[in-house]
Amino acid sequence: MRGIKKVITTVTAALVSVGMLAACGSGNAGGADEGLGTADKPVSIDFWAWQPVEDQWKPIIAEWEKENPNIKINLWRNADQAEYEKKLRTAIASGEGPDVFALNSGSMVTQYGKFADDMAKLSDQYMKGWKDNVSSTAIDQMTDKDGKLVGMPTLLTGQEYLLYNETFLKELGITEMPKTYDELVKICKQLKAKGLVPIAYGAKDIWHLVDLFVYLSNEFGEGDIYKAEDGKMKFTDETFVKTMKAWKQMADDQIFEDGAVGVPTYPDTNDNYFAERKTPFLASGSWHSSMVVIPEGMPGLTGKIANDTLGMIEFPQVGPIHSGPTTGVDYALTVNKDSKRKEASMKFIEFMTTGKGQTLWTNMLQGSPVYTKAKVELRKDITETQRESVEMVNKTQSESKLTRKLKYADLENEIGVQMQNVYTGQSSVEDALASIEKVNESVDRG
Amino acid sequence: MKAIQSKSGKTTARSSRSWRYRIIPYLYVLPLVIISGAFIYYCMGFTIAMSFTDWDGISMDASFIGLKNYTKLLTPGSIFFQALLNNLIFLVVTVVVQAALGLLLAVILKERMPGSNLFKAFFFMPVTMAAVIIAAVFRGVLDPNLGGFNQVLADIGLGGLAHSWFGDPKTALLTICVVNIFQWTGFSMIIYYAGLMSIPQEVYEAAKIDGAGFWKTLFYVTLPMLRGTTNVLIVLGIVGSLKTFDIVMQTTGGGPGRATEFLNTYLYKVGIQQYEGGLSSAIGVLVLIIAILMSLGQMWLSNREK
Repeated sequence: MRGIKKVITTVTAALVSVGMLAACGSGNAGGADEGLGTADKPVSIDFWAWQPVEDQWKPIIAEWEKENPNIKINLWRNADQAEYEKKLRTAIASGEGPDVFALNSGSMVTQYGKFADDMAKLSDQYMKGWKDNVSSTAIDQMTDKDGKLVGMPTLLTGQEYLLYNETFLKELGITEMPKTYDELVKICKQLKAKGLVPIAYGAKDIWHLVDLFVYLSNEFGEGDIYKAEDGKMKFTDETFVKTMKAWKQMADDQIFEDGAVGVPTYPDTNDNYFAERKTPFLASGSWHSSMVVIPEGMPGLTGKIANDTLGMIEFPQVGPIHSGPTTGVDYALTVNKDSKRKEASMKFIEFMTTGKGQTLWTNMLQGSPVYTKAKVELRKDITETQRESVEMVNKTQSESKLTRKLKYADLENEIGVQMQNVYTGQSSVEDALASIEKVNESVDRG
Repeated sequence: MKAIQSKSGKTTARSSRSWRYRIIPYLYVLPLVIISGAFIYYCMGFTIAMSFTDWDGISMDASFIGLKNYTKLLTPGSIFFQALLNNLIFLVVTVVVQAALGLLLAVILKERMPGSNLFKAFFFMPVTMAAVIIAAVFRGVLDPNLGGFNQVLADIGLGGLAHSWFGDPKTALLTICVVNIFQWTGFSMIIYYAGLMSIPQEVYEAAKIDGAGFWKTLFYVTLPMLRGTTNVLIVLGIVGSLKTFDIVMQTTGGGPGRATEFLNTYLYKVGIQQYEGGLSSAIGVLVLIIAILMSLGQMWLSNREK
């Protein structure tokens, strides 16, 4: 009996060990492209992204399945983009990534380009006429330094806008929106005097600071920041000195909430300040037009603004040039170069870029369309303010040639850090710009 | 086995049994060796190797660049040193205050007063809470415009102290220390409480007979006998400080500027947000070396005292 026990224990221990070793060695097998599938043998594609959120995805996937019953889509989503990227990079590095994944313009193009298929070639093959139908600005932003189209753009978003609460402002006796920076400062002083937060701005977020810096710098020297990031100008040049001084002036004029550099955009300024009527203004991006007009089937406004009318304006001009808002590809889709389902993946990307998916999604106002023939359809029961706001956002986004994101993450990070230092008085404008330029000079531009 | 009758046959059977006896323990340990090998030592080796490259943290493309990453980190005035300084300030403040408060609470709760178990549970509760929840609570309470803390200060006539606690570089780091102390003092209290319970009552009685009061008993009996416990808490504090990440990311994100940049938040930003896997690996290696050196130093001091 003891002998049998020993044999069993020995075999068990060996099996556990072998099993673990076997588990470490599993992987995907290769094969030819699976095509578009058939009713008997549908194709399944794995799609990873940080959006659409559940309420947005339901009508999109319903329409997709109606049009393409033989291609199933398995969506994995993490609304936190940083978390999404963590999983994506781990999977891609181990060769286990999804068939289709979402990217945005800026540093993601540089970093994930090597894992993406050549989207121009695939589009030529599977998306006829795409070059005439997709925004050329958006295409440029998704093209890397070697000329490879890394992702097919799907949505555009840009900065800097002011979301405002028209109902609340009327109650406060403010009926005219600020057109100049001086008018904005005057209104902010009125709001402060009433014990309110003037403008809620999440200056804790580096991304939001960089958005504002890029936007402002174009008002002092249109296009200079893109030359600087390419090493053709210095961040210590006049354009950026004026930009940083304008930012310092904003701090001195106290147009944002107290301690803005310690307050994040989400959830604090969005939910705790703006939605709770602690302020009638939120400095933010074009995507907030989905709060101005609630798309059909989407949940309405919450908090104390639930019954208010909201609107949007461009952030009042600060510099001498009216350059308008920036725009960026907030959402692009790419096919994993190792995918065995490229044809089906491209069918889905076409649906989201120039097909019904694009119409459905842009009607939800998550961003502005990249499809040049798209026309955003708004609900009929909206006010003139709401209609004008959304149309203004879509118009400025489609017309803008100014890129929202910079190409190098370390440069963006340094700009954000130094803006915080200037805001809190830890650094002078000159020292801050010198630090940014130092990082800019160390950027590896390949 | 019946066939094994000869002397040599017996030897063969014994040898076979002894081989099995010898191999079984290794087989049981093997899964653990594989797991720790794959997840700890392989990763450690990989990180050390990558720290000498320009790896981007995603692809497997990496070129050897020698000590360039270390040179960048160890240049005087670098972000690394600023983060290290923040870590050290955080370490000293939190370890000392947590230990002092934890000991104080343990000594008080050792006296069998009514409701002491309830207090123990109350003080220990933050330890069981996720850092993200604690951070969210403090962010709400200390919000410069809407938070209750500034309001309370104003109500008691101290409105001049009202402040952007996380948004001012002068107070942000200390505010994070306070959040950490709030979360971990209960842990120090429980460890000290266990240590106190292990001190024989006779020692206290002898001290009492010798005329020692509360303070003399505390400094000449309790504290020396809790030296081992304190050493454990210091080592855990060193390791905990070097691991600090979530509470910082959830409150200040390392800002304003770099006022609350910690080694781990810097490592994360460089590796995850800036795609500099090689540099991030070098930070990881330096953090490991610092942790080993600090722990060895603390153990050496502790042994010298003995």
